Amino acid sequence: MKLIHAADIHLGSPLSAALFLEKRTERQNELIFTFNRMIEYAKQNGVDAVLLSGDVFDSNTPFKKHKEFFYSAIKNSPEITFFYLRGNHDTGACYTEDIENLITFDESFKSFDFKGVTISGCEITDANALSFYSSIDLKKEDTNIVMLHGALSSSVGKDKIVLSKLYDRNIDYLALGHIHSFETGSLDLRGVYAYSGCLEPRGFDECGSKGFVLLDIQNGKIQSEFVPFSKRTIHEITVDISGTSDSYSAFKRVRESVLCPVKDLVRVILEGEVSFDASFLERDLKDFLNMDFYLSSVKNKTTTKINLDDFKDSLSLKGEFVRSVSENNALSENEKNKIISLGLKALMGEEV
Amino acid sequence: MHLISAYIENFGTLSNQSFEFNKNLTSLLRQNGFGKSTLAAFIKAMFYSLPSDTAAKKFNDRRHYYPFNSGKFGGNLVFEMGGDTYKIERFFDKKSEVRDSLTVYKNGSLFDGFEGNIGQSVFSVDEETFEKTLFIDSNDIDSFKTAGISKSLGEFLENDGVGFEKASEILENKIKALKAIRGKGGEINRLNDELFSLNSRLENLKTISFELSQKYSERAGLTDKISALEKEERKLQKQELVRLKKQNYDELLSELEKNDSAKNTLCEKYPQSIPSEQEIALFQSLIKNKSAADAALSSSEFSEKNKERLKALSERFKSGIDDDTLNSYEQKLSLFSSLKESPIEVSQNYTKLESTFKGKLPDENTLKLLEQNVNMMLGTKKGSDKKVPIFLFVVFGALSLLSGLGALFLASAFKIPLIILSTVFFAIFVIFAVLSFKRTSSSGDELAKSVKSFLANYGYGEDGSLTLAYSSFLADLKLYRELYGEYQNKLKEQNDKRAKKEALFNEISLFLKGYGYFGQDILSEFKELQEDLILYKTLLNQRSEKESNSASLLNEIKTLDQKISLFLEKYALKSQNLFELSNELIKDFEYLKTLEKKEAELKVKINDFESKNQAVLSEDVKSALSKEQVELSLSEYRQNLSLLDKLISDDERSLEAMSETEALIELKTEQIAALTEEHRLLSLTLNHLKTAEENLIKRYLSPVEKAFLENLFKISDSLDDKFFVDKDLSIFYEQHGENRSEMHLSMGQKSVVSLCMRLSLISVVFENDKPFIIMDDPFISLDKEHMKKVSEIISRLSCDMQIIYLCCHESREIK
Repeated sequence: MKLIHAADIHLGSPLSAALFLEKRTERQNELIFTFNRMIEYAKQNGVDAVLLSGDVFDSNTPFKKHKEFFYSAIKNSPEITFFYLRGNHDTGACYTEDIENLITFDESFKSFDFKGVTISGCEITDANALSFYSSIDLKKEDTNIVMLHGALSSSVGKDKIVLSKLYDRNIDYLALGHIHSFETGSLDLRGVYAYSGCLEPRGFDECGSKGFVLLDIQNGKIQSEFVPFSKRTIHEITVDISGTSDSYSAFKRVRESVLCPVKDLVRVILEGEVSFDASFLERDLKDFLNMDFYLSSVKNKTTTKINLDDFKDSLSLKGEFVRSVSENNALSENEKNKIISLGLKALMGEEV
Repeated sequence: MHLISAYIENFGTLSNQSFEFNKNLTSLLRQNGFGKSTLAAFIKAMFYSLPSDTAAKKFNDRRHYYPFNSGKFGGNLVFEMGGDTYKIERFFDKKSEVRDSLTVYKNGSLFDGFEGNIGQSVFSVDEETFEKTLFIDSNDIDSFKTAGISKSLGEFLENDGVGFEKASEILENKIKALKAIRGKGGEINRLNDELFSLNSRLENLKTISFELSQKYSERAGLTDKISALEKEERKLQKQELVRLKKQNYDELLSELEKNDSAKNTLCEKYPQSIPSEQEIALFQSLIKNKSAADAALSSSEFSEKNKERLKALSERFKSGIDDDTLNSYEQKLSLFSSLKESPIEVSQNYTKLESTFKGKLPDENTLKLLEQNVNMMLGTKKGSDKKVPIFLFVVFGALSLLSGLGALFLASAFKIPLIILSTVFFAIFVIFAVLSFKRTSSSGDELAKSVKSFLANYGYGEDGSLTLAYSSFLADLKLYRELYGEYQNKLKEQNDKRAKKEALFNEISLFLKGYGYFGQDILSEFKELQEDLILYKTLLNQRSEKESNSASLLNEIKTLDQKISLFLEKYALKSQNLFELSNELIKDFEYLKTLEKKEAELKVKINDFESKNQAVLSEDVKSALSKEQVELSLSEYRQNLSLLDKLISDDERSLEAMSETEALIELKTEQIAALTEEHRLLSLTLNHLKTAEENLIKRYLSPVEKAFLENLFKISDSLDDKFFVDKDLSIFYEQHGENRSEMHLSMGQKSVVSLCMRLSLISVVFENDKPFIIMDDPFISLDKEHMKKVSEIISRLSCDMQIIYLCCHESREIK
């Protein structure tokens, strides 16, 4: 029997808005379409059930159109059973329909027998954060999958999961949600835990592969495999442009360092010390990378190289200015660097 | 450089005045009103022109020095610079600088090498700087700092790119672009405004979001109500289904009951039970056989009717008739039928001719006479005899005439007799021809009348030629005779036929009468005779047959009757009409079978229903609401839900902008922070630049200050306070621990201080090539002692530079 473990779909998410301003609508649609693709994958690969470990929706009150889409997707897949456990975003009355192939959970620990596999779950709240662990009573001879939503923690609480309290509970697979990157580890001698991560990245804090976990259960044994499934991946790359003499050579170095598929999103962090005016580098490099990639972001953390010794004895306004700034102890080195760059540019008649 | 001379044509009070200037000191002692200040102003105007007189109330130098005599306003100035002699010739318009005229000569030739302002080109300072340095009068100067002085003072430094002014301008422009010093201008303010709008928009969207949440709750409530009503609706549907099922069951039971009742009725009709199918079939067979036997018996008897008929026919044919006789008369009858009279056909010609000639057919004699008349009318036998004599007479007459004429030409004695003879014969022949013609004409007319009259009687010759009419008459007559002959033949033929037919009729009629027929319509009566004969023979045969069949049928009928009686007795049946009884039995039997079949079916249905619908039968489903109530409420709630969904969709559409708004807010906030930081850094940069500039100024101000103090020391030892000069070249002095402006000094002290500052500035600004100084009575406030010292300094200065000193009192004259 095959199952899919997914979580943190965040249907209706506005995404990391400032970043995706240009492609927001498109990415929102891609997020929805990826969920649809996952269901198609399930149908084509004979998956019997999909376990959704929380945050299917981005809000307690998702848009009607998103709810309708979700329920419609389930209704149109009668051959697949959907197990839906709510997370910290989609608490509240998100589902209002009784659908035959949709099984839901609540604050009490529930178990369902699904074709010989026991699938259990519990929505962690402030009220049951401690008590639900004691409700877990799974049979040793069964194949047990438990669904929870929360972050691994050493203390109990809403949206927190204390792994140690789940040891030796006859859990073969702990299907977790909340962390947006795939992560797995041993639970105890018997079982493993895994965060499936989200299906599509929504911001530059969600770099790397995204997708779901495919579970293959044979003779009561569960084998799990992460399936990268997102349409796009976000890459964050730091490039040191020290030593480049001008913006062209900086562009060249950056481009040579960014090696990822053109359909993806990239964030480039520029570091290092340059001697040329790098103030327009962030904007220009972003435009430059946007020609090659789906979307790009550039953060300029470079500093301008200024040789203060050149101005030490200079009988000029430049020299006087540089000395004046350097001697101001109220300014940080970074501020001094910037002020000197600006002043020198102005004295050269250049726009600042 | 130094001034050489000046010629004033008209400038203020001065007209046509020439001045020569000494290379060192030119001292002019003139009374008040002479125009000393005018001269100084003229010199300045030659170098720097005069401002246009545009403002009505402003009393500027152009208005001030416009000549009273309205003459040509201007003059010329000659100076030496760099070894060259220059002459500036300027004439000013009353109002506008644009209409001024300027001509410059260099060493006597036209020169246009001074770009723009001559003063700026010559002295490298602007007018303001010139006034504050080279042009000394008694007026106070608030500040000696001018852009020109600052620039000049800074010129000795290293090349600093675009310089402080430009650099600070760049920075200030950028700072203002980011944030205006006053007002709401600048990118930061603009972004703040945008941020404000976005936040307002977000607040509105949050309101919508809140309302949307309420709508979701409302929707949830509606859907719950709809679900409950749908449940009721299903209950009602189920209730209806149960009712229908129960009704169906009841109908089945009722039908079964009816069926049983019908069966009972049928059984009552047959107290001994209804016969079986085979028995009924047998009964039917018996009846059928009996009926057949009866029929056969009936048919075997010779009927009375036939008896009578046979009797009648026997009487008719008692004499007998053989086949040969019958055949013979049949032939005759056939012949009779074939003899048919047909009407005689006559042609139209015959009809027409008969109407002409019937009853007045001419005989042969009449025809002969007519022919003669016609011939005579024509006048010749065969047409040619009557014409010949006339012709001959004419011919002979012509010959006679010709011979007579011919004799004229004869030269003979017989000429005259021949002529007379020919003439006599000619006359005779002519007379005979005429007489012959007349005779022919008169008999012909009478005959024509006769012929015409005859022919007219038959309708011929009414118009046209008589000859033609006669011919036509003859032809028609001939034709009529032929046709008439034919008609007569046909008539005869028909008569013969008729006679023959009549004879046949009489014969056959007589034959028929011999057998009792009427003998009128012999055709049908003969046929009737034939039929009667056949019937007669047939009846005779039948009678003999029937007599032989009767006995066996009687026995059979008897047996059948017995069997039938047994059957009827067995089932206590009575009926007059066995066939009807038999049909009724069949019908009842079929009906019973139908009833039994139906009973079985009904029982199966009932059992089936009972087994499948036990629960339904015992169910008592009742809905609290009526169907109408449920439908009405559902319709209302669904409509409300639809409207609410639309509102929700509208709100959601609006809220789709919320994330974008939040994103924009985030972006704008970041931008504002970045720009604010940039603004702060730029401000710091500008401040530091200014500081650097001040430091530099201070550095190069020190020569000015030093020179100032030296000059001050030389002139006045009463001013023992500590003086200093700030970066604006303003003079201050320290007294009793406080810094005071030089404005606190007396007039005399101020004039000394001012002179010292000017002299120090001149020494610094014009370090190398010092130009002239014009002093327009600047020492009116000095006492004798200070005046003396000042005179000494001026005298000393004049060794190095040209000084033009103007005063109005000998006490202040410097030589």
